[in-house]
Amino acid sequence: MSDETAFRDALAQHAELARGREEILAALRDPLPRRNRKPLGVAAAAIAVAGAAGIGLTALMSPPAYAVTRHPDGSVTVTINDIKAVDPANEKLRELGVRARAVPMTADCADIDGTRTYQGADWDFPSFSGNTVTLPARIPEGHTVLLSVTDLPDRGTGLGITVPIEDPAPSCVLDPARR
Amino acid sequence: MTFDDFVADRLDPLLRYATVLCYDPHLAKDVVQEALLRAQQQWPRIQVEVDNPSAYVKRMVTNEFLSWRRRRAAREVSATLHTLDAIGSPTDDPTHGIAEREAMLGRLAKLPRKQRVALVLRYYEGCDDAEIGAVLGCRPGTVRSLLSRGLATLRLRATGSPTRSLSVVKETT
Repeated sequence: MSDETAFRDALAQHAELARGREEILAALRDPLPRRNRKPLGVAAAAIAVAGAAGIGLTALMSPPAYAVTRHPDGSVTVTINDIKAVDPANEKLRELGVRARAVPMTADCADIDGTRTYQGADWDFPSFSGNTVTLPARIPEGHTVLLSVTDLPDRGTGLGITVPIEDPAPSCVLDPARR
Repeated sequence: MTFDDFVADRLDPLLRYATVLCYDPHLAKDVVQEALLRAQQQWPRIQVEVDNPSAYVKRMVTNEFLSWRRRRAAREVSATLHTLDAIGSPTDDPTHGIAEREAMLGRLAKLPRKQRVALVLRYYEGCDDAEIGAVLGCRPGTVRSLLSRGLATLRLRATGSPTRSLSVVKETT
């Protein structure tokens, strides 16, 4: 297979990650005045944070450090805005029985052992946007999805995610720039 | 064609195009939504004055991507690179093909935006130089330069003229 063909395949496969169709249709059915509109991804994250924390709209200006919200379909949305919130977020994930763990991304962590990553298809790929990840209802037993949180300089913000990793899950994730 | 008919026909291809372009499905959704909301407002004019509404709206999506706020873009790249760097494959891949593809896409995400647009239009949409130039508002010579620089960064060897086979497959599945 040529490089060019591989590139075409990669683009075609990545295109299949497209999502948000229904939200766009809803926005087109009921368009708000432009000045009041904000990207749906941001709006959805804000609503999830408000719901999880039980706070009013006025408090949205300063979102909480974290939020964990279970949805009726079993999926779970996790938002972590501050690396200091890793422990309480994990406590909530444990309480809900979610096979996921927030860990810091560090420059000196051991790299993930590829032989311990889940190789099956019995789970759904998480969706993510900025500091928010929505985990699927199904995460294989005996495995944990890691949510990496960073405060390293020049690494921006945003949660990193991994495929399910065989338990016991690592307590950190290596900064990809150090690989 | 009504705007509803247009959306029914073109929303999915536009979302897939934007997903490749933005490299982040959530950002792609926002980009397509913004472009379609503007197209909706302008539809009476587009319907009458524009020969090819599909190409016109695709150009709107492209421009939305090119002008997306820098702050938002920084977050996008950060989130997607974290994800790609940290993630493995959900399926067995003894040939490491998936890792190779992700590496290529990771390099694509770091390219200047116009180079990204040119490469996506060529290798995902199967557009020729003139068509890419029409979307980007530049001459074919400039398109070739964008493609050449982009390919050099990706370290791919171009082996032939653009094909449309992928576009056809993509739009009928």
